[in-house]
Amino acid sequence: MSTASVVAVPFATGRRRRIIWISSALVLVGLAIAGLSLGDAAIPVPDVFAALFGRGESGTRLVVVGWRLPRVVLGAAIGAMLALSGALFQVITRNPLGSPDILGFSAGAYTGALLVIVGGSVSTAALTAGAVGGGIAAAALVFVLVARRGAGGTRLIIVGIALTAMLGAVNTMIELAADDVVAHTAAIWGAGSLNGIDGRWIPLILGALALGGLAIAVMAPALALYELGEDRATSLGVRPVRLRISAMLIGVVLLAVTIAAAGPIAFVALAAPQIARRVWRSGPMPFAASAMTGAVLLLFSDLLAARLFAPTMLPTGLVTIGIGGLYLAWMLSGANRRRR
Amino acid sequence: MRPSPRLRAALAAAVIVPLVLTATACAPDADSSSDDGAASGDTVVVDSVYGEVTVPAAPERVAAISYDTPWQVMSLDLPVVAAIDYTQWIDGYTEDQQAYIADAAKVGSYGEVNFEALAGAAPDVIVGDAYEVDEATFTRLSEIAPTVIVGGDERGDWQSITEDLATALGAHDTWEEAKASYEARRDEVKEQYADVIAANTWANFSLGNEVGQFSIQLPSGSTGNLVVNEMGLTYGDGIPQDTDDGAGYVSLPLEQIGTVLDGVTVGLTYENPDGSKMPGIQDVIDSSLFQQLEIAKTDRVYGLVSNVTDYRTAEEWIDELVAKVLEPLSQ
Repeated sequence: MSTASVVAVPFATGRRRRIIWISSALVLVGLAIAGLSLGDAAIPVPDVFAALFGRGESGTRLVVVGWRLPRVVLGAAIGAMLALSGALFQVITRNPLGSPDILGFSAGAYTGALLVIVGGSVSTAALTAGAVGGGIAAAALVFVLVARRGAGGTRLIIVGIALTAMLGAVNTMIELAADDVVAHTAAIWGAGSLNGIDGRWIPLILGALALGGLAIAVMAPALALYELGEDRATSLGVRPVRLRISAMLIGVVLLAVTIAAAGPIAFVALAAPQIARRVWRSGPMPFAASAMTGAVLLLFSDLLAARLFAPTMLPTGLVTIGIGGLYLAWMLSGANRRRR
Repeated sequence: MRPSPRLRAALAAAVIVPLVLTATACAPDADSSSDDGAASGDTVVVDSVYGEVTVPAAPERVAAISYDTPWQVMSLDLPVVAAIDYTQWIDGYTEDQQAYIADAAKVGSYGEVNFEALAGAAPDVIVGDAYEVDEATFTRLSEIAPTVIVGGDERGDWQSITEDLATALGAHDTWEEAKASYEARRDEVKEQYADVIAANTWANFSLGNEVGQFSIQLPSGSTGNLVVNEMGLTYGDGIPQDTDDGAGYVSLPLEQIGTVLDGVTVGLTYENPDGSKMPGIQDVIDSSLFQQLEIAKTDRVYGLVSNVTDYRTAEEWIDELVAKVLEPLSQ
């Protein structure tokens, strides 16, 4: 079996997917414009574009370019990165629940960043290093714990849930032991929010997204074969161990960088790849479609977080948890229907 | 499509006006001898946690964005045009406090400032405390209006926090009056009720951080400072004197309440203006472990309404202490 035969799609399906791509791109652009235009100071769309091109009042430019644009750009990019991370882990665990939220990697990255904050630094480099280190340590721990008896079935998920609970307790202990001001900062950051997110994160986030996306594009054919089963993939020239480690590292880095920038935003990594799989009706994991779905999901969630109870603003992570809960209920009810 | 004039006006009011005001406030002073404060553009440079800030000498539109800050500004006889949303805690505040913030724009919730709503309130100065405002938030707030972030030595250091705010808002005379009035009242009460004060051992407790816990105010907390350092009430031996985390209180498992409150003869706590207590505090009082304490058996648990954030509320707290506790105990 060639790689092409795994990923090739019939003409009708290809046309349908093109329509879905165009529709989702329009939705993404619509959400971005809404994010730039809606707010406590409602700014008409023409003024938004004027501000984006450096024209118009200085106050409008500050709000649109200085405050809202970083939030929209980073929201879309972070959503895409979370989705790509989730898609990678779901492929290498061959489990739709195999997202970094569930497996404990998010909690590990949070622990790493928390330790950096408690240590007195909130710089971009230190937070990123802490989150990446914590995420990789958590991932290594999970795979060590399941190594002896294999990662099959639900074992990996159960170990991940246990590690998430354990790290949750550790994080609480760190916050309680920290200086009150630091603990307060950490607690607010820990809710996961795009409110007030700083434009200084744009180069790092976009850079990580571009590099991660490129790496995934290179690995995509091998990952598609890997989904068919380890033995079959091996027989077709894939080296599963190396693939798993590479995918895991890329997934953790993508995840950890988002956590460093915005705190832990739950459920996008879990839900976006599965939603994309169903909407695009894809056999192999549709990475690009997952990224698009993640971007749409997070921009939509953030818009809700900012406007639902305005002027009170909810942490974006709270809205994604709500949406994630609905997704889980939908997924579990679907599983029950299939069993009957 | 061109935006309507009304939209443009709204935008100008919401966004551009505060920026212009900021620019005006920060501009070099052309006529510093004028008595007409903000209207003439008089400015002063004040210290804040994140460095020196140039503010209007007599601000007219103050935004107070940290949890205790509006009440501290209230004690300086200045109005606020913006504050966070207090809806979920409103029952704990007096009618005067509720009326004070009734017309203020709501600019987000505790820990989540809505910058656009704040800009829409067109403040000419923003004040807050360092416990809730980090440097990145300060930087963004400074794009809206001159921002002064204050922070005392510890959470309950309302004396220096209010002094710094008074300096920043050009209200030092009002602050000194409130301080003098408070100190006179404090000394008068300490002298008048010296016997009752000396004859008892005191504690100020509240609900804990979690179910199954209770909390004790430390001498570094807002009310603990008043109880221990200002009024000189003897705190129970089992009560921690301080921790390093700066919170001003410590939350402990309910199992330890017997040890912590051992020997305490008067228990102080908080209550709402209508006389009810927060469910978490009532749960502590209703627990069987609490009911075994001497203060429960002798019915010497007193709820005080005043939230101590400044000299005025501290004086109100002392007045309440006299009326509800010291006077009855001296009978």
